[in-house]
Amino acid sequence: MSEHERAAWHSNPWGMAAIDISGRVSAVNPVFEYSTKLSATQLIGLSEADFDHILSDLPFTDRSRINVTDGSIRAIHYVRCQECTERDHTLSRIAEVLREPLASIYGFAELLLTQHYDEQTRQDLTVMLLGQAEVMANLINEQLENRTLWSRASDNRLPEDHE
Amino acid sequence: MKKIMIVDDQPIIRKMILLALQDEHFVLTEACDADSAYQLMLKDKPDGIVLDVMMPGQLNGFQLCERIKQSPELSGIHVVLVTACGQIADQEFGRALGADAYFVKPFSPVALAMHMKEALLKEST
Repeated sequence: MSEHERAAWHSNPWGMAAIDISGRVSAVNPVFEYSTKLSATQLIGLSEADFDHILSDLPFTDRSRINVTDGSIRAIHYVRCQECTERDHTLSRIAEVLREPLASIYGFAELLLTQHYDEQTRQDLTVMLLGQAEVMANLINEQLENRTLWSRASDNRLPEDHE
Repeated sequence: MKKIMIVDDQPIIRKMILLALQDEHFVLTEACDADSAYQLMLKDKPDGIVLDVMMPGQLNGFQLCERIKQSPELSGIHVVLVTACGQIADQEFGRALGADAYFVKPFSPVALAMHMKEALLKEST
């Protein structure tokens, strides 16, 4: 497995299990272990039939099997648990909330760097940039304290204007 | 002169886009929500619109984009969606509604300005 494939395997938001050409489970990624509450040690070496039997008893929101025609892997099973789906949704919402002030920081910084403004405008933009950095710092601190950001994320609301 | 409308509920984002698009070729107008943007564009048809997706009000950016592209009078408006929704599915949804471009926040305002120049000024030359 290349570095890139290894990274994709470990960071994939789907639970993944590989079936080798002999028809046995040869590898599972961390999300698969988390989703099934079964360890790699319990799963690796199982026949695909036994493995399927175990999976059929577990509640997944999504499940699929993709045939692989390359190398020593015959197929990959993908699973998705409800908890992972909900967690990903919340993380996605948090990303959206944080992108708002980040958009201003990124944008004003780029404009200051690439455009010619008079001194007063430069100062005004710098003040706005600093203000948005403070907004972002506050959001992160709120998140670390497990407060408003999570509720904003789950309420599907964005922060009020911060000027 | 080409008319561009900037629609975002956050004044600071509107200010940033306004600064990036300030150009002798463009006349810029602003709206703070999709509902007022729609009313404004019926009167003063812009050539392009930079449209936030998530906004308060009856219409969000996706819905306004769909309304623009389905209107015989407005469908020629070049619609650029700018949004904090970074998922591929959101981008595909925006394009399916007829958006001409999709910028995910944080985005480069310089790249946005270049895009608008290419889209609006090229066709007039």
